[in-house]
Amino acid sequence: MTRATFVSGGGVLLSLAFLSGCVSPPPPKDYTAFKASAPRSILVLPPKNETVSVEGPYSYLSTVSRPLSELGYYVFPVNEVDELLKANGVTDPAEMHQIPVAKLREVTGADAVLYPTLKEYGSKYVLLDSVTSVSVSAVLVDARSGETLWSNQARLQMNANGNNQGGLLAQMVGAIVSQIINSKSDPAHRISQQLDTILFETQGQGLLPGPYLVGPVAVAPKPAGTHSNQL
Amino acid sequence: MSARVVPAAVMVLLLGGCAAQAPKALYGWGSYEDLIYASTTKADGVAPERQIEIMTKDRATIAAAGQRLPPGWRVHLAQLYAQTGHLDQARTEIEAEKTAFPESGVFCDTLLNSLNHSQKVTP
Repeated sequence: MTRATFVSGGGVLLSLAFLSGCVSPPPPKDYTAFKASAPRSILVLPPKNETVSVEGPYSYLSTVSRPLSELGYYVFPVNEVDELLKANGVTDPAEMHQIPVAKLREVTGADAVLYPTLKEYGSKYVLLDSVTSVSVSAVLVDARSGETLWSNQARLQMNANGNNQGGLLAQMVGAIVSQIINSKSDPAHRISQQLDTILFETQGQGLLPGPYLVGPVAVAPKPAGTHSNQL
Repeated sequence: MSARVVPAAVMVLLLGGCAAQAPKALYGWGSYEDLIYASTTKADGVAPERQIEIMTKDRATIAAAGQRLPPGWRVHLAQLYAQTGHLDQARTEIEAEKTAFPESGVFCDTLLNSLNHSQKVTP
C-alpha cells in the first residue's frame, strides 16, 4: 500500500515535469469584439514587407489559406484577390493595406480582412550552417465596422544543422527531384507553415474557430442574408 | 493496483490540456497549396494547362476520398480556364464556388463581371 502511494506521487511529479514543457502561456486575448463580429469569411491581403526579401511576402502569403480554411473560415483565394487589386491599379501590398476596408467589402463581400506584415524572412548562411528565420505580425479587422478584432505576432527560427545533418543535402536532392514546384526548396517557406500554426492556432492567442469548424448550429445566427444586404 | 493506474490517467488528462485536439481536416488539399505558391510567387511558371491537369486529377482523388474541395479552389481553377480561353468552364467553376461557399458570392459576382467584360474586349 505504501509502495503504491509512493508510485502515485511519482506519477504526479512526472506529469508536472511533462507539463512544464508548455507552461507560462501569456494571458488569453480579449475576444469580445471577435465573438460579436463572428466573421464567416476572411480576405487575406498580401503582406506588407519590412524585410529585404523580394519573394518573401508572396511566398508567405501562399501558406495562409490552408490554416485559416481549416480553422473554419471561407478564405478568399489569395492569388485571385491579388490579381483583382492589381487589375484595379493597386500593385504594392503596402498600398493594398491603405484601401478603405469598406471598399474591400464592397468588391468581395468579406466579413473580415487580415493584414499581415512580414518582419523577417530568409536564411543566413555561416560556413556549413544556416539559420532561417521568419517573423510575422497580423491584424484582423471587421470589414463592416473597421474595428480590430484580433492581432498577434510570431517568430520562428530554425538552425539547419542543429535539426538534421543531412538537411542541406536532402534539400538539394529534393529540389532536383521536384522540379515542378520549388516551394519545398525554400526553408523559410517551410518554416512559414509552422509559424502559421503558432500565429493562428495557439490557444488563447490565435483565432477563434470559424463557422465551418464550429458547425451549422453556430452558423445559424448569421444567415446568408448579410451578403444580400450588401448588394 | 488501481492506485498505479490513476496517476497515468491523470497524466494523460493533463497532457491533453496542452496538446492540440486531434485535427480532422475539413478539406482535401491535394497540390493546391503548391499551386497557390506557384501562382503568387510566379516561381518557375507552372503553365496554366499543366495546373489544370494537376487540379483535374486532384479533384478526382479528393472526391474519391470523400473530402471537400477547399475555399478558393474552384476560383483558382476558373482563373486557369479563363487564362487559357475556356470562359464557359471558368464560369461553371465560379458558379460552383458560390454554391459551395455562399460567403464567396459578392467576390464571385465581381469575377463574373470582369470575365464578361474581358470576353467583350477580346476578339
